[in-house]
Amino acid sequence: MKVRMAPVQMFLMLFIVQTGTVFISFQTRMIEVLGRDAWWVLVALGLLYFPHIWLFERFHHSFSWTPVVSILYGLYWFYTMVSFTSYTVYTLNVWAFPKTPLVVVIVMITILLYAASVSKPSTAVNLGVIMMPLIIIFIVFLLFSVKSLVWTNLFPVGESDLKTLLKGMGPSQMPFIGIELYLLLRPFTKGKLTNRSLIVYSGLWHLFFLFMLVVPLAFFSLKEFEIVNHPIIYILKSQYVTFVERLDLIFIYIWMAWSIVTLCIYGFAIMRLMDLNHIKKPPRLAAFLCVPFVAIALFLAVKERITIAAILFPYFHLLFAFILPLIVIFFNRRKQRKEETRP
Amino acid sequence: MKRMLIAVWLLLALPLLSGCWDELYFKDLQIVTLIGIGGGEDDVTVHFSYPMYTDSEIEYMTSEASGRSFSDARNNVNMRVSNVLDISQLQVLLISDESAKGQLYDHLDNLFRTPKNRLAAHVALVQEEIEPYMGGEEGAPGLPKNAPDYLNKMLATVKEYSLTSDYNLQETCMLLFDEGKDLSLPLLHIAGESGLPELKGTALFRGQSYTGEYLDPNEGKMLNLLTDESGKFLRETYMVKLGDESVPVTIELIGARKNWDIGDSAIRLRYKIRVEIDEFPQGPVMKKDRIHELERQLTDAVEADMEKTVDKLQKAGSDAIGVGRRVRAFHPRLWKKGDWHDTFSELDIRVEAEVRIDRTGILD
Repeated sequence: MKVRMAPVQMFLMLFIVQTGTVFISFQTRMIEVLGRDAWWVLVALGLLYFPHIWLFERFHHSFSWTPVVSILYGLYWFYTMVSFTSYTVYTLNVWAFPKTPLVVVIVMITILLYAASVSKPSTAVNLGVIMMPLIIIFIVFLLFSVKSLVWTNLFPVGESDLKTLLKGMGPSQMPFIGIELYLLLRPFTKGKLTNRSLIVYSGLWHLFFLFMLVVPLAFFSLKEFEIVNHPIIYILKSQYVTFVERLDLIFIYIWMAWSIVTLCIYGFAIMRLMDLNHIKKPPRLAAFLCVPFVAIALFLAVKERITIAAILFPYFHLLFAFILPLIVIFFNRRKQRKEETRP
Repeated sequence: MKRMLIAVWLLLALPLLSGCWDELYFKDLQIVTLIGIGGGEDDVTVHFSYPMYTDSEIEYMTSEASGRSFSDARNNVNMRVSNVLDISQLQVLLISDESAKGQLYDHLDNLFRTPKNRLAAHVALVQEEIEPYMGGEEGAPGLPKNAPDYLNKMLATVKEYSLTSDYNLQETCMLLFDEGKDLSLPLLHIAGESGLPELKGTALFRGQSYTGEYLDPNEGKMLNLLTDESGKFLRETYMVKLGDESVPVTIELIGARKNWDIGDSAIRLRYKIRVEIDEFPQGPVMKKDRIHELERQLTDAVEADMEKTVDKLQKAGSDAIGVGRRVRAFHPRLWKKGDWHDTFSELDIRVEAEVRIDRTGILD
């Protein structure tokens, strides 16, 4: 798999994969736990994004994709893909296709993912470009709600005690999911990336998620978050425009495309792992994986199971974005030093 | 390339799935544009009004059904209509004042929970029975055939002229859950002489329930001024003294700037109000020091009206202005004093208004 991508392409892939599925719902759980403190917690945590990605940039050469590491990440990304698919299908079912059998939507998405995964790597790399105008349209739609925002809803802050803040760390991790893909995508981009480019990307990521959190927080009262689980879609639903009856439906399809592109990038990542480990006939293995994929996605596409899957994510994220890279990089560097000092 | 094309085609085809299992034909539905909710807890009566094409003309039909909840009644009505009633194009939702004295959200949950329902519909309370507002044979004698359109336009007009607050279904839900601001909705009644639905005033809520208190249309205008949510026009006529003569002057709001001073036991609601003279038959406004005299008298009159409105709100324990939002955000000691509605009622709230005449129309 010979792939070359410009830094912009890599950052676009990372942005799509990190925002894709989670940005419409991460707010509810975070606000449920942290209340009005959610926004400043995201401001504070978001500031850690740059050091995190800077460390990845500094040490990505020392991260080697051994078979064990690849299997672990492969399983994690497979789980991510299945959970995201279930969530996407569930959301589509609730908002757009209430009578359409879930299995039909899941099978269609799976065929699409398979087709995208086994086609040229440039497919996954360039799919994100389709999303760019749609992201802009979506943000413009969301800005219609500015007149309805109640800024006093953001205050007072500092009401959460330490225990609550710690409890809120879990749901606050959702926007960070997918950052570990940097380690896989980075080798496709040659040369050293400047700190400026990392800061710009981190800033855009931070602004995007902050916007997605502050708008619902200022739009809904705290008590409403107990019942509204898709705040962004609900905001769009409540906007009255003369040119379309249901703005939320347009957005649901934009979000669906966004989610599917995210899943395609995860599919690309798994195919890349197969390539790195010289798996013979990756398309055949991918086809084989589609069977459990459909079955598990169908099993998980129920409200309660989706909620449980979302609760598990922060723990997996901690393992795959912090602990595992730290261990792998630490041991590889030690090994490298030993080899360098060997006479 | 071939596989990529398959992927792109599938991506584009996915939204079209709605045409397979979720298709709905207009010809199979009765589009309900007006709903009236009456009755109490566990015994809800819902009235539906919908247009129907018969012999190339539109006839407005009404149906009603009872049930344990709004949704139950809605399902029950399908037993007596030719086509399924579809409420996704709802324009006006009427609720009887007695029903609104309970937990209002209980009647509205289904409307928010179903994705295809329209949340931009007008919401209003009605005094006494719902039937006269629905049109049809049992409708108010003066009400035209197309009751839904009539009410829809009427509610749009009263909002445009700032006679009452007008929150749509979505805003109503938001305010029902808002701890810092109470809901207020238009209150309608059937006028004795014309037999037509007419604005009675602005119904005041405390939390999720209607208090039974309401503001008259003039106070409704002041509420719009206090909340800074006036419609396109806000006009008011006052009598001013010029020498020995008492003359009418009509003003139209250009804009207002509020500056609230919130203390631990007293609140000052300060407003700088810019107006245009809409009517002043006594001649030029600009004559000698007349404009300053007019401003002084208008300031006193507007301030008195605003104070009266605030007094009424305090008596009802209904913070329809939204002072509580500011208090909750920046004055935690005052907020935590107890239930905000009680605190709001007991606070010393004064209004200080300053009216400035910025324009005098095309005449001096």
